[in-house]
Amino acid sequence: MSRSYSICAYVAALFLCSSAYANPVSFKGGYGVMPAYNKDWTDLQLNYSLSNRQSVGVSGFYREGLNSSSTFGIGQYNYLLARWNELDSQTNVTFSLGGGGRHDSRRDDALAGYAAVEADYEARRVYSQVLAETLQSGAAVQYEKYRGRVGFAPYNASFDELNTWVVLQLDYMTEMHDPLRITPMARLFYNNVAFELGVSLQGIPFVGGAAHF
Amino acid sequence: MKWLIAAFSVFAMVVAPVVAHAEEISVSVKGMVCSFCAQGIKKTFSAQKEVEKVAVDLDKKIVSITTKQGESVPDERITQAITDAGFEVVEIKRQK
Repeated sequence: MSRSYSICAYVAALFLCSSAYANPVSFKGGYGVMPAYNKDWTDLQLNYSLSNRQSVGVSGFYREGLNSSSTFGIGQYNYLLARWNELDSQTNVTFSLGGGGRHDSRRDDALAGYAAVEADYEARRVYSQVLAETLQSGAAVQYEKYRGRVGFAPYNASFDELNTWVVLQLDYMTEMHDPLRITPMARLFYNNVAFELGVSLQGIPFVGGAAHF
Repeated sequence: MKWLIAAFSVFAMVVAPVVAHAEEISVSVKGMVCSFCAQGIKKTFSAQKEVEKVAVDLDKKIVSITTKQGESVPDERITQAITDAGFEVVEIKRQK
């Protein structure tokens, strides 16, 4: 792939829209677990990769919004739209679509839909990702999340070593009490397990992770 | 003559397992920049019965496969396994 293609892929990754390490599509026959916890929202995604391009899974989402709190149970299909493998980097663009149900604290239970587009670029010491995600259930319940991340690794870790990253996460979530959150965090991974811990500038803790097996 | 053939057969049976070397396969891979993402490569090759050992070098972008004695893994299977893990093979080198 030419250098201009690489630059285009990186720009697309930055501006299109969660992470190579937490990509919903992993390796053929691989299972993935991705939990994330914040004060007023929680995600748990379980995926099985049918191939290196497609995965299916189930997800649970909890959102404590301005008017009510909602819990979503979603069956999900994920497709790797594009992947650019370079000697020193990789770039991924993934699309997810799902459907299921919603349980709400103030409204009747209803059907719900989920869609997300995410892109990431990762090299040995640099990392970025963008995500756009929507959870919709009728006209009244509509949660959207837009995320951008940049990170760097202070050292080159080998395959069997603990990998350490410093990441800055920017989240904008509609219908939430604090829609904009900027969260510096540490991201650690060892073998097939990743762990993230951060605190937003408003003092809201964030805990996330992923495991492939 | 019969004695000679019998002696040669016994010699072949004793010596053959000793000369059946393990193979060292070195695979250059594109996109392998993160240990978490490359776990699938190790898992896939470790599950193959011919494979004794798998090592991933992220700096050199090399997957090193050591087969069991007398065993081999064809190029097609290596390429397929790397592709299934989401990566791209650049070159496969073999050494006995």
